[in-house]
Amino acid sequence: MKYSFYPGCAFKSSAGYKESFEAVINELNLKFEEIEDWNCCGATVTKGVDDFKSLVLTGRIFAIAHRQGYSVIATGCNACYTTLRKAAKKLSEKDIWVKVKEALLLEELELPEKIEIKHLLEILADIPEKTLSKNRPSYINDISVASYYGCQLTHPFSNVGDAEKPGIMEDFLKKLGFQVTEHSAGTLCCGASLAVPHEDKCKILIDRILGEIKYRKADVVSTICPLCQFNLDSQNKGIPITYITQLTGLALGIAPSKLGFDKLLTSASGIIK
Amino acid sequence: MDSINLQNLFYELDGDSILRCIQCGTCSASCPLTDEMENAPRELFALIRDGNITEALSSETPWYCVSCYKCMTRCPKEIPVTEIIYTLKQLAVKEGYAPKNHKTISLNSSFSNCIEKKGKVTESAVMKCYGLKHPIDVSKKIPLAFKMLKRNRLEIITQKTKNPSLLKKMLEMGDDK
Ligand code: SF4
Ligand code: SF4
Repeated sequence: MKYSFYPGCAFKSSAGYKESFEAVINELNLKFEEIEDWNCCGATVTKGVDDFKSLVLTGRIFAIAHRQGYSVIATGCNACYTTLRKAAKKLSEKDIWVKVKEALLLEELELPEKIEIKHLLEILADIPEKTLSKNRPSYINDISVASYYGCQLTHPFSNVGDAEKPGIMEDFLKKLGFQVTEHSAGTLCCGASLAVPHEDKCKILIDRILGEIKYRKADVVSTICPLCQFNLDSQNKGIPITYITQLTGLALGIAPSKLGFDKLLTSASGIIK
Repeated sequence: MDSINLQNLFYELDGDSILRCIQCGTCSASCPLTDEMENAPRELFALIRDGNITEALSSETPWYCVSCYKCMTRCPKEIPVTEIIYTLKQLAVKEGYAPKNHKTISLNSSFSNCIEKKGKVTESAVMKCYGLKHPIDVSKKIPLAFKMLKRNRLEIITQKTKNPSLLKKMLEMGDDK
C-alpha cells in the first residue's frame, strides 16, 4: 500500500524525525508520497479564528492528496492528525462541504467527498513482527522505553484505542524487542504551543510527565509528535526524548548515524551500543 | 450586540450543548491549565447560562486552553467542551471582547500572519513576529535557539507554498460580505 504523506510545518526541522522516518521506510520498503505544495493545516490556531478558514486550509490538503490519487493521508504530527481528522468529519456535512469545495475551485482543486487520516504510528503498528526482527541487535532487549503519546492523539476524533491508555505504542515497542516501562503519564499534556508565551506554566506540566517516567526508571522516552518531542527535550531532564522512528531504526539494525540522533538536545548515546 | 443576542448566537453555534451541563466539574479538574484559568470550563458554562456571556467572552480562560481534549473526553454528559472553547475564542475576537494583551493571542496572530503570507509556518518567522510585542519571551529562548543552530535545526529560510496569495484569497472567501 502507498500512502499520501503530510509532513506538517514542524517535521523537517525536528530532532531527527525526518531522517529516521526516511531511513525506516526505506528499510521496510514502505511507500509514502509527500503531498505536493502542501500548506499549514492551521493546527489549533486557525480553528480559534474561524471555521471556514480552518476548513479551507485542511480541504486544500485533502484535495491535493486526492489529485495525486490517494484516499488515505498519513501524518507523523499529533496536532496535524487531530486537525485533519476533525476537518474530515466536519466536511462530511454537505452544506459546509459545498462552501469549501467552491473556494478550492479558485485553484482548480477538487475536494473529495471522503478522505481517511492515519497517524504514522498506526501504519508502523500494523507491520508483522517477523519483518521487524531480522536484523535486531541484541542490546535492544535491555532498553526500557516509556511511551509518550501526548494529548492530541487520543482525543474524541481519533481512532487509536482508549483515550487514557491507548496501548498501541507499547505493543509496537514490544514487537521491536524493547522492554516497556509502564506509567500513567502517557497522555498528559505537555503544554504544546503555550511553551512560548507561558513557559513557566509548561515546565510544571513537563515535570509531571518526566517526573513519573524517571521514577519508573525508563531509559528513554518514545514520542510521536514534533511539538511533544521538542517540549520534553528542551527541558533537558537527563532522559533522552526520541522519536518512535529513531527507536524503530535502531531495532531494525540501521546505523544510528542515519537516524538523526545528533539532533536531540538530550543525548541518547547512553542507550546506543 | 447585547448580551441576550450574544447568548442566542452562541447557542446557535452549537453552544447549546452546555445546557446539558450538570456542573460536575470533571472538565475543570481534568484540565492541565486549570490553575491559570480565572474561571475554568465549568464556571464559564455557568456564567453563560446565567446570562453573563460577556464576562465569559472577556475571560482569559479560553486563551489558556491548549486543546488537549481531556475535558471533552471525560465529560459525562458528552458536551464537546474543547469545541465550545473554540467557539468562545472566535466570538470573543469577532465581537471585540478578547482580552487586549493576552500573550497567547499575540502568538496566535503571529502564527496566522505567517499562514496568510507564506501558506506554511516556520518557527523562526513566528518568533520574530511575536518578539516585536514580547521581546523578553523571545530573548529567553535565545540559548535554546543556539542549541538548535548547533544541531542544524534552526530554519532561517522560511518555508512557503508556491502561491500564498491565492491561498489567502481562498481563505477570505468566507469573510462577511
Ligand atoms: S464535565 Fe461536562 S457536565 Fe461536568 S461540569 Fe464540565 S461540561 Fe459540565
Ligand atoms: S481542552 Fe482546554 S479546557 Fe479542556 S482540559 Fe484541555 S486545556 Fe483544559
